[in-house]
Amino acid sequence: MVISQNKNGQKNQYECFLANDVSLYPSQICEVLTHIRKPGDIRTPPKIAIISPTSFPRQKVSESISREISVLVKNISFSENPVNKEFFETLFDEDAVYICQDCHYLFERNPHGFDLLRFFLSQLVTNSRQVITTWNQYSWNFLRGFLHIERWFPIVIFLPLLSSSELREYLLSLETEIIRFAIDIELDNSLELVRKEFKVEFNSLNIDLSLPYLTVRPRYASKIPLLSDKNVLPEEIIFREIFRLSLGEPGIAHEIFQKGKIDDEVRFSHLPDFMQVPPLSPIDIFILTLILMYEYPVYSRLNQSIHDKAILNSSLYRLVSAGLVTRNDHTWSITPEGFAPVVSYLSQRRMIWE
Amino acid sequence: MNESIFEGVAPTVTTTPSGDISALVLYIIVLYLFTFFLAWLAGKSLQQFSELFSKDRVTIKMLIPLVKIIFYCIATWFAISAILDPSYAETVAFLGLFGAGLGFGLKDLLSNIIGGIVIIIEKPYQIGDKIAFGDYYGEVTDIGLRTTRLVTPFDDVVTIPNYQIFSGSVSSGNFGSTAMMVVTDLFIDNNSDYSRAQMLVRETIASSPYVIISDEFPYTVLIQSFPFYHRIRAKAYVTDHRYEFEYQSDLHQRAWDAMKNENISSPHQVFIPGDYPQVI
Repeated sequence: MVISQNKNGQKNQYECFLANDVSLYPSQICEVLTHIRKPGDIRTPPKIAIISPTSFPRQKVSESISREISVLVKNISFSENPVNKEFFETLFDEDAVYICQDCHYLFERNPHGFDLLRFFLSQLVTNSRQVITTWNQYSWNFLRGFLHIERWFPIVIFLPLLSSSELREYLLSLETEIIRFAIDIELDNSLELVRKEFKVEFNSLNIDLSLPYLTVRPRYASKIPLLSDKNVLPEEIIFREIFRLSLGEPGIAHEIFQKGKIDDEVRFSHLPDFMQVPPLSPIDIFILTLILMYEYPVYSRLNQSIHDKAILNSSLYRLVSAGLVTRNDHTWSITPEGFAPVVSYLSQRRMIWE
Repeated sequence: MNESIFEGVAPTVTTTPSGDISALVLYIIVLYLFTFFLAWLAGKSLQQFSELFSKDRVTIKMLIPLVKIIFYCIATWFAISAILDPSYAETVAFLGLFGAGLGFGLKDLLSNIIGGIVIIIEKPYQIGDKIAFGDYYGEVTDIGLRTTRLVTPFDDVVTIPNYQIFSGSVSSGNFGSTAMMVVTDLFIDNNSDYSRAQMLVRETIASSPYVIISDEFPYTVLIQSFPFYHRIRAKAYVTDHRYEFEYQSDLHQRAWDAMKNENISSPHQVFIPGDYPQVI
């Protein structure tokens, strides 16, 4: 049995026995499996949406679900090849459980750019197949505001960011050898400027105030109690740094962990530095948002939203120069070390939200 | 040797009344110059500091006029103390007479200052707000003791006496937030497909770099029919009120590009500019 907690803090219990080892999100996988109709069950199954900030957790959960389901599973990823309306007309013909991955690729942010998504949603609710869809969290939130997309999906499952201890457990579970940790540079324990918010709630007046303020703190002060046990210190410091850089996102954390690993030793000096986002224009911010929302967009997709190639190229140049965005063959993506600062920066500018 | 000379002279030196007054005047001038500098520095620092925050910029700017008023009140108290060195009873009497004197002689200045205090306490608008005040529309850049300054979309600086707050009405587009609702009208021909036009305008809003669409900041696109045209009214929040005109321009340009591809055209009826407000 797995117990999961939803966003409102209510606990759900699922009778669920997983046949395979699952290192990530077992309760969410169980929740999906409880909604899969057994053979012979004639009721129309609910459409399911699985949401996460990057593709890594969705990919892992989809793979686990595919392994656990005994009936035929058809995997379709919209990130790989462009699709058209004709593709959807026969898509759900076969009797199977469909896992439609990266559905956020079905819309483009331009006029006429939502026709394909509307057609897909229409096809989705007019067939009786079991369909599991996966979406980028920031795209999903945007579509909630624009289309009220949650109306098409009775079951919405968020894959939350991991806590510091969960992240550590997960990263270590992937390693077959014993990993050593080394602080091979002098830690910069200088003061850092931190933005905090002082929240004041007047429940009787239904007013919530949030007063921002800046404060300073020593970067590693919180680790001082650990000095009594020096064997624990390097590992603890490195995992805290990975958590700070990844916000608890397992895919990003895994990449940062791998960057820091030389043979069987994770060295602090090889972890990337925390980045600062330089001043950006509204168009730069918009392009950064698009890259975060699509995860791996190709140039033409960005060009659909910013028609002027000179402006688009100069923005991409600035974002790449700042180390926030990287190019892999034909796709653009947020760098692992850029993820946390970009999320914070775009949230502050209301381009993305929880 | 020298000390003995001064010992003899010093007690005999007396200052003339005019010397006292000059020193006092100089002291007050220096005091106010120093206060002005401090207020300017505090205002500038808060202004710079507020720019570090996007969402909370306006909240921080709210403190600027308050800090300025506190500085000037302290300076005025020091100036009065230097002139009169009053006792409690004298202070009360002075303030009474001073108030009466100001009431008669400087009533405009006084009402401006009271207007400034009312603006700070009641907050009908704050620094950073986009407001329409009388015939003017623009971003509030300063709320002083006597006047409020706006920068209009044409980059004109308008100085409005604070007492006008008592007689005129003020509308604030964002009211302390950086996000602001912008209403944009597009007019299409009666024969055009208005449902499709409405959909395209929706999608244009959703793909604008300047707009927020969320549960907290919903958008809407409304259609109203008139004898010779349909009006499509788009209401959406821009992420920052500074992008108001960029957003409107972007919306017009891309919505019309999309609509022309689907044979949706603007009305043939010629509008007389003066008639425009009447058709809304």
